[in-house]
Amino acid sequence: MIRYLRNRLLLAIPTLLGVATLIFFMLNVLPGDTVETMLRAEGGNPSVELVAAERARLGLDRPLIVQYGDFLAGLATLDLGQSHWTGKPVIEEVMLRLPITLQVAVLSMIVAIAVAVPLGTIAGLYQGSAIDYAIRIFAIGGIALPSFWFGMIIALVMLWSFNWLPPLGSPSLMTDPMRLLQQLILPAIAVGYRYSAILIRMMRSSVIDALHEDYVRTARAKGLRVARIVWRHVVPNSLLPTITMIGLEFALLIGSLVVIEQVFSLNGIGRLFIEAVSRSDFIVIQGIVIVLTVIFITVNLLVDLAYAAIDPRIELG
Amino acid sequence: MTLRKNLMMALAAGTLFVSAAGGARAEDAMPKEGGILRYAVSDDPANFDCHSANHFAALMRLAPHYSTLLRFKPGAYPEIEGDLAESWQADPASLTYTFKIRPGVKFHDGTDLSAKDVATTYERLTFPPEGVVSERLEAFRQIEKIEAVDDHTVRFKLKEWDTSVLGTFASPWNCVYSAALLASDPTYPKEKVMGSGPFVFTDFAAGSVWTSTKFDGYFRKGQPYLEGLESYTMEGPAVVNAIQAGQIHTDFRGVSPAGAERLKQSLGDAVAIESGPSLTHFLVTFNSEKPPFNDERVRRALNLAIDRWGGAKGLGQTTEMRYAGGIFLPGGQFASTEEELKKMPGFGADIEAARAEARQLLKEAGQENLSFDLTVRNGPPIVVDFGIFLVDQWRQIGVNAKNVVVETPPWASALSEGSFEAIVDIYSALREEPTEQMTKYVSHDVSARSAGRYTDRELDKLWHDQALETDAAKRKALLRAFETRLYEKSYSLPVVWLERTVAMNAALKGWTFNPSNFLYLDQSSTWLDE
Repeated sequence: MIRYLRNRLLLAIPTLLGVATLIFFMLNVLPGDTVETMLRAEGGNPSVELVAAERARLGLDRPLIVQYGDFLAGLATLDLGQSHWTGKPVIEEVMLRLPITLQVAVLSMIVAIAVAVPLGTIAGLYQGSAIDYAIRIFAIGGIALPSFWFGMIIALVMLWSFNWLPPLGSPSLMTDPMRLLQQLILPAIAVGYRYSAILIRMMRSSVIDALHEDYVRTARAKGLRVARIVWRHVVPNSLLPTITMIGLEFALLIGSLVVIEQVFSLNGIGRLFIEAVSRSDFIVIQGIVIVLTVIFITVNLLVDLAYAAIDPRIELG
Repeated sequence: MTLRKNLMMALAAGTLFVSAAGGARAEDAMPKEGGILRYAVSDDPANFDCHSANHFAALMRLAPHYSTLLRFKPGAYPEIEGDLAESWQADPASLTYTFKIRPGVKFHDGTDLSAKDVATTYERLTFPPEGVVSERLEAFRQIEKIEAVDDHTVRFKLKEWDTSVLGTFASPWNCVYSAALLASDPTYPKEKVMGSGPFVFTDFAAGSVWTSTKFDGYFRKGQPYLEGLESYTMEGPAVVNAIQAGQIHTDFRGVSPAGAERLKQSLGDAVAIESGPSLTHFLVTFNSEKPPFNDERVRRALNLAIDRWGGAKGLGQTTEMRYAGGIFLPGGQFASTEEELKKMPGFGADIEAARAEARQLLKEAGQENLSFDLTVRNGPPIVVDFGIFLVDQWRQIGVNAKNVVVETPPWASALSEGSFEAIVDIYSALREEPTEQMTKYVSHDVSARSAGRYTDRELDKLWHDQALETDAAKRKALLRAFETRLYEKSYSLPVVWLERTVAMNAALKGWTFNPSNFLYLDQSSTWLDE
């Protein structure tokens, strides 16, 4: 187990290095930089000397390879550099926003699992019935509707029906959890619906497969009650592929929050990403991509560990 | 009916509409004290230094914390009054402006504000030390020397007389900083908010909310009326939703016409909507260094093809692009009348005749099959709409322009490096002041704000001469001459002016609606009738 963990962590290093290299050079072939955007985009008229001085101050006038070396050296010491726009450490900018993004992601995941596991199981158990069709239509709806559009619609429904919207500001989980829940519940439902739709379909097909397995037939032959067969044999075995999907979708979901954070004015990492793109704050974009890569790797590792916990036949190593 | 009359009627109608919608929007009522004003701001400031910023969103956060030498008088736009200055004297003969500073003004840290603070602030704006960025260098290009004569007198010596300088002293960007703090660290305003304005900075959660509380030691007795301010970083549809839900009172930048209509329908008398021409206009600039745009006939043909009057009428039905106009605010004190404009190239009443002339010019220039890229900034959606409008107008004369929509950074880069053929630009002026507004249209080597890569000394001379001219009629004649030459040469073309529509909770009083996004943001006279 420890050797497995060590190997996985070592494998993460070339992955991160590859991502860092790719994102650095991709961003730096784009025209424009922070200085131009800051001094000129809103109608400013900076002199050539001022633009040059600001570029020099930020180190943007150095050869690209030197900047790349600095970036990697910083990465090795967990220093993601300083935002060219605000001058603050990137890690500070990211850590300020990461909690809200993770909170929405986790809440969406909880909503999705709470909806998908029972509905997917029911749909699988009653394959071909009216209830199966109803659940499949619900799932197809979730896949078809863009989360941001669904989010806007549920916000408008709440506004017009109850004159209520999620509260503004940045409530803390520690000091005001109820207000935080109020702020996050609508975005979590908007994102969680799509997430649950994918899981429902996966769970349903896994349940259908499991129902045809020998161990279920044997359990039936032994005279076990249907409920026990389902909860003891069908659901746990069906969860394995669903967990894989939960892990993969969780990492992708963080990326999809970019738009939903805009819709609900959430101060998350997605919004920071959009701001950084519009300001050409490359160093912040690089930082966000690195952090998201770390999250992706971690979630995948946790999924693998969860396999071993759920299925005793799987050994890690 | 003339354009000016149309606009005046629109403004009057707007006022009537406000009365009808706002119900008891009694601005002459006695201001009430207390309450927290909550409003939306679309972006965070990069840092806290007014002098280096140029985005109105930064000013919305910073203005309540600072005083300026002069200011635009609340309730009386565009009248100017003293802010820190008690009185002032202009002496064209000796090229000096002398200001008397109010006694007893305190900074938020309790220290006294004196002429030295004002002089040091203006030194920083005009002659920034190394490491300090001043976005106001061009505005103060005429200042030669700044001197604190005594504790309450500051004197500015100009290089040559400039009619625009007095108004520039009223710019809210010129936040007065503490000389003592600047002495220890000239860059302190980037990190610390400490002025003498009506509100004291409390906290800023990046990307979320900026809070401040009333400054009890504010030098205008009885003000501010509000207990505090909360400005939330938000934009787009979320703003209209938040106003409707009562979470915020307004967004001073304004809302879309559709948003205003929705609020009117949903809130009725509980919302007050004010609208009128904005000091923001959309323009298109040709790269005069690049063929075929180095040929005046080609630029002029493209100018003639644009139906500004019809465009404003059509676009104005669904967007903020509502007024056809030249380089000055339509209906404003410096603008050409509709009759004057219609005699200038590109503004004629007969668009078919203009387009026939345009086709002929293209033929003469050998550009009958002209095609080029129009670089458009992927900013607010109406900017992209404006690009589509231009492409369609040029198609009417057989020109094939391709709308190339890019994000802000490459757009800004194209603008500064001249790596474009034609580019869509936006210009938001702080106030109606030709000297400042014309910098968008003078030669590239005179103002970096002008992007067309052209040199036209005749335009530059007209710009320079009008700045010195103290006779209003003569100055107007110079402005007309400038406009006529600009549209003839067609280097860079104003096309359409926006409408500003501000939707406010009806309880919000005392704020002055005006054409600029940058004014009356200190909230010193704003109050809540709650």
